[in-house]
Amino acid sequence: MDGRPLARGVESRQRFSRIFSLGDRKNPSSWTPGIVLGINDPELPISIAPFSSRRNSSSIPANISISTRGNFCFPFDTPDTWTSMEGLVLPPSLAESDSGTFSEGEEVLLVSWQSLHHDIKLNDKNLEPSIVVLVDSPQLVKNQGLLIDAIDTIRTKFPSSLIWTPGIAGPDNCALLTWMGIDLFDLSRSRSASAIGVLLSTLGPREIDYTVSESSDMDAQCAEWKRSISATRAAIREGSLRELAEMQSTSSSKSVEHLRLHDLKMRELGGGRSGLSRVLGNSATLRCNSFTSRSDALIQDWHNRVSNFHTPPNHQTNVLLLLPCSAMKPYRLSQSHQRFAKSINTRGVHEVIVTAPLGLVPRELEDIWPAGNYDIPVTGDWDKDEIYIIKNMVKKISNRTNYSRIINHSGIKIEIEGIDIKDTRKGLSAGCSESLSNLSIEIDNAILDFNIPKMKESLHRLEKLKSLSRFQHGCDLWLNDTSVEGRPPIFTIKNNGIQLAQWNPRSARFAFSKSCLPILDKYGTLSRVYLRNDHIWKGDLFSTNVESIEGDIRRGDEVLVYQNNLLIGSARADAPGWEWPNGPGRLGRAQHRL
Amino acid sequence: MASTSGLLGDGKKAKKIHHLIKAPENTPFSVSRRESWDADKPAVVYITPENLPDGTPCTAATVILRTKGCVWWWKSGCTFCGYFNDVRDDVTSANLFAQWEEAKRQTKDFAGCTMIKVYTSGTFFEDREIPVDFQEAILVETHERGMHLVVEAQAQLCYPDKLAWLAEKHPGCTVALGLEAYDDVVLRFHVNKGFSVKQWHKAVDLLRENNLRVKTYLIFKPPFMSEGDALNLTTKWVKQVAPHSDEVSINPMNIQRGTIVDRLFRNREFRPPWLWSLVDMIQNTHEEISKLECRTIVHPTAGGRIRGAHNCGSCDEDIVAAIERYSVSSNLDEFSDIDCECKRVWKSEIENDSMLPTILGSGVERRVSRVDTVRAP
Repeated sequence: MDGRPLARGVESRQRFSRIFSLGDRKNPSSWTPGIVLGINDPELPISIAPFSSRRNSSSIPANISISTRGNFCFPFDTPDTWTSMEGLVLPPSLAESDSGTFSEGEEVLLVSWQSLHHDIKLNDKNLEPSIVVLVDSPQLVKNQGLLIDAIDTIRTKFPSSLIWTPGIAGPDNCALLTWMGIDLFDLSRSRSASAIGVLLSTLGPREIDYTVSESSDMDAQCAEWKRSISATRAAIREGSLRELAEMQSTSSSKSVEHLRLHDLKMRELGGGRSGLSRVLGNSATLRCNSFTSRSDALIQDWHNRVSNFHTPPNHQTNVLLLLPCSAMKPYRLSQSHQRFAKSINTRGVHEVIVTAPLGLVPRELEDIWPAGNYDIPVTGDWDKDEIYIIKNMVKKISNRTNYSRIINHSGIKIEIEGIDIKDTRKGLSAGCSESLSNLSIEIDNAILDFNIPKMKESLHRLEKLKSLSRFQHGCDLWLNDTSVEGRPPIFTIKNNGIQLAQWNPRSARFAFSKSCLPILDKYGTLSRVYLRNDHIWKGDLFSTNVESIEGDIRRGDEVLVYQNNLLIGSARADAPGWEWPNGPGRLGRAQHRL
Repeated sequence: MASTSGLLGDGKKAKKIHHLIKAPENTPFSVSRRESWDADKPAVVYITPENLPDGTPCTAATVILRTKGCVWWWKSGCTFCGYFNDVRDDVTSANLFAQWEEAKRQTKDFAGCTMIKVYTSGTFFEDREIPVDFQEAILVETHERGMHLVVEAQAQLCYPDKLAWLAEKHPGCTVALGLEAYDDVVLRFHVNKGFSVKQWHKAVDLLRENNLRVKTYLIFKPPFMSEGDALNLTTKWVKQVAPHSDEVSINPMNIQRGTIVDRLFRNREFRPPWLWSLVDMIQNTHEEISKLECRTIVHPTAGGRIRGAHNCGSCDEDIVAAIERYSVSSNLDEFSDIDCECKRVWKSEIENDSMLPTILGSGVERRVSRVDTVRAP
């Protein structure tokens, strides 16, 4: 029942979704997300439907065969067929029992909620099937949260396998399932829709429109699939799959339920584990146009880290200044913030911008993902949820930082016991001369009341970069004894004339020099990647040369590379932490070699 | 299989299916329900039209006695069997005689009945379940009155001595064996039947040796099986068991309280079969069976109801009636005029089950709006 493994690479990725290229990586002939065709299904192009399946149930347990529709396995000479025995499976509600038999197969692994609980073979580190099939998907979707848990378990255990959840996908939820980590779908729901004369469209099932002679035949159903898969692949490439998944989910209450539960689960995990990115550059866009987008792990991660962990620059711990956000990012380039700046006659107050859905964006973090990239619809009003989030975050960061005073120019009423709060808006607009005058007066009062010293711009920049480093890397010790040079917005960080890093707001990251690596190593600043001892490191980082990792790697992270316990270089993570060390394709791009 | 230690395992020792089957029997509700029964009253008595072994139409009395239940249940039990709800642990011979008298009272001493089915929620001639004096009294009385008797038994309890005794007391009576599936894997895993196909064959041979008639029960759609697989397999099994049986009775799964199937049903992990599947099975076995001296009976208990075999709700009554008529007439014309829009939904479900590796089936709600049947699950 074994066979040749599927050759696959990753063309693009976002969180748990990937576009796998199948076959010869120089000339792939198909991609995922894609469709597994059944024997009675219409012929679809290989580019959309890379596999076909056949089931033999003449005896129990049945066998399932999956065939490649192209030459996807090295040396790419013929199509391949993998066959597995289904096993005898109990439904999810009886998973406390291990009665039955588990599936048998090498390249096609069939799993169920029951086998995820009881099959010890699944713990085998060397198990790397080409395709994993979740056979009780139709039952799992009916039990709240089980599908999410099952997919997450399979996805992270078998990062390079393609996952198929038979019987539940359609053009109306393929983006959502892809968002959760599913790669393969089938036409079963479309077949059912066709049978009853309903069109399963990308926006959900609906009656056909007779005025334009619409059809519900399988050709029409497949056209919807093609649209949906193309849109999903395009969204992964441009990093907007979340929006598409949210949009699709509204066609079904169950889909909304799955998205919410998935968000909830991801929020409880670390950033790397939940697939978050740390650095995407300023060309990426995060469109938060729906209420649901607030539940995304990315947003919740920001709330958590700003509220509970972020520490302001060391010279800005006495006075918190709350400012309203602007449509332009970074805020400092907007006209409104340039006007505010004229009223802020000190570098010694901690400027924090009040916004939605991120809640608060400290000035020193305004360039980084996602603060420098988000976009929201602006109505001029805050809703109750936004106000609750903002107040809660202000309360947490204030109590933790022990600000003595808050100058509130945000327009949102803030009250925190034990902290002196000065409202400079008093119901006026943020940019009117009276409120700006109030702001200026309160800043001057704070300078006097707290004896805030004047600070050199270079030191101010260094402290801001230290604060930024603490937020991004959890540590700023590598910045000790350094100086900041250069013309804004690009800064060069040096130590005794040796360049350690550069800060460029366009890439929104510290670009570390080779000289900095031993310092970063000394202070344990970055996540670590350990290469196999017998490997000669020439190219990038792949599962074939990575032995293990240490730390919570987010996509875009700079990581230190070790071999035989020696630091040998650095790389930038293409893949988030959950894909390391066994994920498909390039995990990291080599940066420096020592 | 090993103890719980898979990717999601919590290290606790896994249970066997046997434990899950037995669990509801011991609930306070179940115990109090069992103790509430009047041991002098039978569970059910009713009269139905039937056919005698020679095909002559007749009237049959069915008497379901309240007994101690089935020895297999005492040890383990079948996944779908809810008879434990209807038994009492302390039923005596005197109680059974009282029940028999009550049955006679309710039927005016079986007036007009030439056939009688005496069901005991177990094996009629198993001495641990039914006192021998009562067994003998029923066998003799029904024989002396010229009534054709049908009793039920488990295959592994058909001992040579006992069958010879049975044949002596009531020659030519029918023994109904609950085979359920002509497949050892299904018997063991899906049904937890307690005997094998080989044991059933042995029992059939013994019954034949004693000139007793064989009625074989098959279950349509046991738990842990898709509709598509159930249709394909049961169609095959009917053809396989018919040559060995005088009658094959196919029982579509219905949901009995407190059973494993009930638990799955409440978790929306099991749907009783489509009535269309039963029609399809009958149509696909009719030709082959009609060449044999074997009658096919399909009686959809709770047919058309949500806990029994059902369709969309609008066509159920007509189809149940047609199936019932077929069981008496053995005429396929009973189905010639029936159709419904839901047949296409059923057909696509069967097709999906046959093609996809969805072992437990891909069935969806049948009684929601047309568009909602295909809404994203």
